[in-house]
Amino acid sequence: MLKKLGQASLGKLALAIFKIFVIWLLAVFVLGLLMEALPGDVASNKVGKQGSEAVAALRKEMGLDRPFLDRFFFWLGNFFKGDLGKTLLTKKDVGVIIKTPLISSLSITTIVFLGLVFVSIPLSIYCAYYKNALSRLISRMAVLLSSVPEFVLTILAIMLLCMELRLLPVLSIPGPGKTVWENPVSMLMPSLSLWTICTAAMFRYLRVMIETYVNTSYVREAFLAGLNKNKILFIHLLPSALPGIAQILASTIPYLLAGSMVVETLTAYPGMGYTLIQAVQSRETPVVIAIGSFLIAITILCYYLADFLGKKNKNEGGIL
Amino acid sequence: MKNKSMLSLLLAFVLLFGISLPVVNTEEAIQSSPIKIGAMFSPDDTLDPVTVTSPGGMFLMMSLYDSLVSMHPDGAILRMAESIEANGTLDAYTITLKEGLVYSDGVEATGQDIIDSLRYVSTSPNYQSMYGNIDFEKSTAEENKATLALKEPTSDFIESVLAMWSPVAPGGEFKGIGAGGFVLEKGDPQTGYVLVANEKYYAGKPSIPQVTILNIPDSFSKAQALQTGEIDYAWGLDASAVQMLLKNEGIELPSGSLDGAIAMDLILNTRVEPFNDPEVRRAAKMTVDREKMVAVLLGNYGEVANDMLGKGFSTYPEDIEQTKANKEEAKKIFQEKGVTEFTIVASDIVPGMVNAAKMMAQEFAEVEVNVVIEELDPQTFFAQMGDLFQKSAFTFYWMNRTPMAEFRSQVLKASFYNVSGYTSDVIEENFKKAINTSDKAEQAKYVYAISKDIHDNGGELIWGYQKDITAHRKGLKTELNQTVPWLATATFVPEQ
Repeated sequence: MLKKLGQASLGKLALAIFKIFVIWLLAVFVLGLLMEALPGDVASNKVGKQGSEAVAALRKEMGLDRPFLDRFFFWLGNFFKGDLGKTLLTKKDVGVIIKTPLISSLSITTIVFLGLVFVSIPLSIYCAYYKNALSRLISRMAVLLSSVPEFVLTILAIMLLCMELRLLPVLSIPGPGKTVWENPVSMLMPSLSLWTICTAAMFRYLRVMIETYVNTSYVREAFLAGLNKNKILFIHLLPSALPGIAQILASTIPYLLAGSMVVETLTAYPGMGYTLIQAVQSRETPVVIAIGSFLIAITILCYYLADFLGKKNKNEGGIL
Repeated sequence: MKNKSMLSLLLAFVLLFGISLPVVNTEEAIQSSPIKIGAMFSPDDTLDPVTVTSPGGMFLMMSLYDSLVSMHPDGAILRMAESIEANGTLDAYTITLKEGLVYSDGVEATGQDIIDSLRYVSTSPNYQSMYGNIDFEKSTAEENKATLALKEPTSDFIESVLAMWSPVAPGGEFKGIGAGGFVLEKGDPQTGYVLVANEKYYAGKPSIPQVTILNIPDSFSKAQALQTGEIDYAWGLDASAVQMLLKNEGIELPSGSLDGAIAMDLILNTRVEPFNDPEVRRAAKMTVDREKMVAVLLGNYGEVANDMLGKGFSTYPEDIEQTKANKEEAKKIFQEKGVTEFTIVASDIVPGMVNAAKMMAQEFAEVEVNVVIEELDPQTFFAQMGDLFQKSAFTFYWMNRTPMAEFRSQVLKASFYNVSGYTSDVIEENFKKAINTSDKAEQAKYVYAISKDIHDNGGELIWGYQKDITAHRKGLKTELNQTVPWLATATFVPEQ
C-alpha cells in the first residue's frame, strides 16, 4: 500500500517536473522568437552605417544567417551540456558575463524576500486585522509610497540616506573584481529601495485580502463564538490566506531578479536587470536567452510552489 | 619629386621636434593620489579594442595600450612613436618607437608589433575606414621600426589615421598587456577595474599610482558620487548633473573641448526630393536659428556649428561665413520651389536629437513648411540606413575630428558614411590634391575649397557641437585625447 502511494507520488512529481520543463522550454523558445522579431541585430548595430553588404557579411560571420530553429536547438544542446555559449560580438563566455549579476541579484532577492516574509507580510496583516492609529498611519504611508514612481523613490532614498545623512554610500558597487558578499554594504541601498517598493506595492493587495477573509462567515462565526482574536488569526484565518500570500510573494521574484533595472542603474548595483536591458539593447541574444531561461525557471518554480501550497491547503480543509 | 622630398623632410622635422610628448619625471615632481573614475561599461566589454563599445571600455583600452600618436587641436602629438617619417611620394610612413620602449611585462616592443597590431585593429568595421588604406602585405619591420606601405598617397595619414588611435600590443594580441601608462590589476565590466601605474612607462612612471574605474551608468549617480567623494572624476555627465555640481566649490567643471565633441546634424538627403535641389538645401540652412537651438538644447556645453565638421582644429577654415537664420529669404525660396512639407526621421542615437527635430519643426513652421516627425528607435537606427536613404531628412551625429579625417568618411564618392549622398567634382579633385601634398599652406587651400563646397551646397545642416561634460575634484590636471582623459601624464593632488 505504502509502496503504491510512494509510486503514485513519484509519478505525480515526475509529471510535475515534465510539465515545468515543457513550459520552460516553450517560454524560452518564445523569448528567442521575440528577440528574433526585434528590428535589427548585433550585426546591423555594429556595421549598419556601412550598408547591407557589410551587415550580411558580419551576420554570416556570427552565424546569424542560419535559420532560427537551427540556432535555437544548437543553443539548447549546449545549454544541457552546461555551456551557455558566447556573446555574438565580443565572443565572451556568457557564463562569465552573467556570473556577477546572478550572484548580485540572487543575493538581494534573498534579502528582500526575507524582509517581505518577516516584516512586510506581518505588517500588512497587522494593519488589516487590527484597526488602530498605528495601522492607519502605516496604511497611509504605504499608499503614499506606492503612488511614488520607482525612480523618484530611489532618488529620494539616495538623497536622504546617502547625501544628507551620509549613512550609506551612493554607489552600491562592491569594488572591482569583488562579489557583493565581499562588501555587503553594497547590498544595503538596493535592498532597502527594492524592499520599500515591493512592500508598498503588495501592502494594499494583502490588506484587502486579509480584510476579505476577516469578513468571511467562518471568521465572523469564530468571533461570535468568543474565540480569542489572535487564535482566530493564526489558526483560522492565516492558513486559508496562505496560498494567496504565496501567489503575491511569488509574483515579486521575477521583478526582484531582473525587473529592478531602475534601482540597479541609480545605485550602480551590478545586477541582472541592467545586464538584461543592455543585452536586449545590443541584441545579444545568447545573453538574453541565458538570463531569460534562468528567470523563467525560477518564476515557474515559484508559481508551482505557490499553487502547491494552495492545493495542500485545500486538501487539508482550507476555506476558499 | 625633389620638392616633395623636401616637404616630407620638413614634415618629419615638425613631428620630431615640433610637437613631441614632454617626458615627465613624476617621481620628483608631484606625488599624486590614487584616483577613482566613474564611467559606463557594457557587460560584454573585453580587453580587445576591436570589440569595445562603451566609454569606460575605451578609457581602459587607452590606459593599457596607449597610442603611437594622439590628437590635439594644434596637431598630432607623438606618444609611443619617437618619430614618423613619410617618404617622398607620401605612400609609406616609417614609424620608429621610442628607444627601449617595453610593455608592462618587460618585453621590448618591436616594429613588427606595430604592423601586427594595426593589421588586427583594421579587421574591425569601425576602424576599417581608418586603416583600410594600409597595405599590410607590403609593410615591413626591422627592430623597433615599421614602415607602413599605403595603397594610395596620404599626406594626412598621421593626423587623420594614426592620431585617432593607434594602439600596440605584443604580436598584435590585445589581451591586457600593453605599453600604456597603467597595468590592469583586477576587475570586470560589471564591477569596474583597478589599474596601477606602469613602472616601465616610456614617459616615466605615471604620477597617479592607481586608477579605479567604476561602472556607473547613470549621470545622476555619477554626480552624486562625485559630491560625496566616492569618485574623483565623473565622465559622461548630462546637463542636469552640471546644475547640481555647479554649487559645489570643491568640484571643477572643465569647459569641454571641441576635439571629439558630438556634431549635431540634420541630414538633408540629396538623393530624393525636396533636398535634391541645392536651393532648397540652402533655404533649409537659412531657416534654422542655430544660436537659439544651441542655447536651448545644449546650453553651456554647446557651440554653434556652420554645416562643416572639424571646428576647433587648426586646419578648420574659420573664415567661411557663418550661416545665419534668414527666414524671409528661406520662405521665398520654399514658396518658389513649391516646398510645403517634408519628413524628418528623428532618433535619439545621441540624447536630444528628437527634441532637436521638434524644435526645427517649429522653425520650419515659421517659413510655412510643415515638418512631419517620424521617431525611430535608436537601437534600430543604423539597421535601417537603407530605408533612411529614401527619406527626405533624418537626424545624425558625427564625432568632431580634423577636416581631412572627416572628408574621408563624409563626402567622397567612396566614403563609408556619405549619408547625405552629396559629393562633387570640386570635393573629389581638391581632396586628391590635398592628400598628395605635405605642404600645409597648400593643403589648407584645398581644405578650404572642400569645406566651402560642403558649406554652400552640401546636404548637411550641422547646427551645433555638444562638448563632452566631465567634472572632477579640484587638484586634477590632465589633458584629453578625443574626450578621453590621458591619466598617464596627469597629476592629482586633491584639495582638502
